[in-house]
Amino acid sequence: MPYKYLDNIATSDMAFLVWEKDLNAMFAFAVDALLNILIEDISAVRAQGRQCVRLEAEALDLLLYAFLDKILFYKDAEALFLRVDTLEVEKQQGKYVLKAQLKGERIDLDRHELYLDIKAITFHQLEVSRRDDFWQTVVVVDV
Amino acid sequence: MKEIEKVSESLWEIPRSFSPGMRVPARIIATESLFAQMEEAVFTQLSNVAKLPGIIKYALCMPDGHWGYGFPIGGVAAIDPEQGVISPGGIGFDINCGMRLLRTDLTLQEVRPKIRTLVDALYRKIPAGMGREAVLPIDKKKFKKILQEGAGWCVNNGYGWNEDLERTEESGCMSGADADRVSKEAISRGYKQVGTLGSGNHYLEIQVVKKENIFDKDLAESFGINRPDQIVVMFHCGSRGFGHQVATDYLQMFLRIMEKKYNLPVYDRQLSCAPFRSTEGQAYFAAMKCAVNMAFANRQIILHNIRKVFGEVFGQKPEAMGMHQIYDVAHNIAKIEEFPIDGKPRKVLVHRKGATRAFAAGMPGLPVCYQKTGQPIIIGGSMETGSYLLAGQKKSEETFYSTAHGSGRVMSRRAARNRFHGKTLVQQMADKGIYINAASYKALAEEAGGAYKDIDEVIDATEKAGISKKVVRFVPIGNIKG
Repeated sequence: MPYKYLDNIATSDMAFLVWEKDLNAMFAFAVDALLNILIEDISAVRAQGRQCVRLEAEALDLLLYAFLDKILFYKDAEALFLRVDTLEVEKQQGKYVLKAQLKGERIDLDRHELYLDIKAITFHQLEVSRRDDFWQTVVVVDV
Repeated sequence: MKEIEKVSESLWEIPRSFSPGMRVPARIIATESLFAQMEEAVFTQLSNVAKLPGIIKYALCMPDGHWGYGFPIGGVAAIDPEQGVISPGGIGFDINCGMRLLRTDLTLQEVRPKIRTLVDALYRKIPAGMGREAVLPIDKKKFKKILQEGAGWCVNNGYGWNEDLERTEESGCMSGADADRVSKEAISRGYKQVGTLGSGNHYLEIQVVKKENIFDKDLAESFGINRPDQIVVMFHCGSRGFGHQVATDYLQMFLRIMEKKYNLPVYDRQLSCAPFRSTEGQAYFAAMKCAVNMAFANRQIILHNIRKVFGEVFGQKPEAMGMHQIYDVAHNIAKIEEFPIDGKPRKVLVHRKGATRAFAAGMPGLPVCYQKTGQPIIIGGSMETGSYLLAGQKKSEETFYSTAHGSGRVMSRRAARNRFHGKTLVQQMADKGIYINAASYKALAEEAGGAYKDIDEVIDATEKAGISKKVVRFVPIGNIKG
């Protein structure tokens, strides 16, 4: 899996690093890294329901922030755990546009072993950057 | 830290020369060893707070201070409302996260034999963790009323007693909350969460008062702590997903306008802000008040359900068991408060993030029953080490009437998770006479006492600094965790 958790950034909270060659895949794995804080085993989330998301932002890190915030929104508002099915980030007229299909299911306390609820995504050290031949992001979440 | 000056045994000062742009110095309330435990990031963050337009006298950090987002946890700033800014990073994502404490006439001898039944019944009635069903049958329209009326809505609808309101900071409702300033996402995220505990470091505890842990008998009696081995209930939670969404929404909005519209420099994106008197500043303040009121209502519904469960388990009416609320405090909030600064009455916008208001005796804003004692201050420790009830003191005028809020983490979650094991911890706690029911054992391991600062030392630092007075220490016998 192209993500790992970072211990030395946030004492009270959780931080993760995601790296991938493809920007779209990096966004998708950032969702997995987020979900893997909420629950122990993300493969336990079945693809039963579907949600469509369209977001735009002036910068990639702001776009990722808004996207991960949506995942937290569905977790509380609809009791849904979601993963990315398809996702595309495009640049249109100076703005970044994200279109994604998310698949998942309602929280099932019998099958989903809960870990930590997340309050919010933070801007602390948030970055989406292009390295030699891959993209990476660091995200710190408030739990 | 050569630039930080030790002013006294409990006070440290960061001069303006520490970082370019500081408008005022910064001050840290801490003993030598608590100061030594603070991360350097605390000093950087506090120096950024000292750069906020309109900040008065100094940026402050309480003894339980640690690294946060924007403000450090334990950060306090008093800002001139006419010239200054409001910053969501000075309040936190969990708006009006706070503590509520209620007393009972019950004793350890009566409760101990039923502790498992009691904790398990509370765990069923008060949802903790994710994915639990809503407890309050309300639609979005009623939720909007709660946002404007706070705990008062609950009491008016049969969820509590009138006296609960006067024993809640702000009487359980900040006026001027405007639900139209809140996104529909925030409403959707929060309307099924009224009466729920949440996760992370939120908890509900059954605690006991041991004779040796009463430090001021008269004050303790005035607060309702008046019998040997008395049982109290303390809980810690906030505005849940609703408040988190309000903070997230406005943080993003302020970042879009801060530089472009108001020409304010961004030192840290988590410290984004807007002029308090601007349209955006006022919109956030009105939305923040909705979250404040939601949190007061949340704790009110939880209180109601605690009384119900005790009633069922002990077969008596809550009134007959003397289940009076002692007080409810907010420790993540911004408010306009009026008090003397340098001898002159002044209205200030006080940001408290991981800091508790600590009004002294005689101050307006305290209910009649606490006019002579000073404000009851409720401090939650880690689940293993105990918690405190303090009283507000006059010297807290030096901290804009603020004091500590808890013990503060010293070990990262993952380090704690590697060090402590959830199920072993439950057994160790059971050996100490503490019964726990938790939504996640791994998350529980991260809340082990060893992951936190020494609460006794934090409290001693507030007493040394004269900003609050020790009244009672509580030790847990039962605990519910998200």
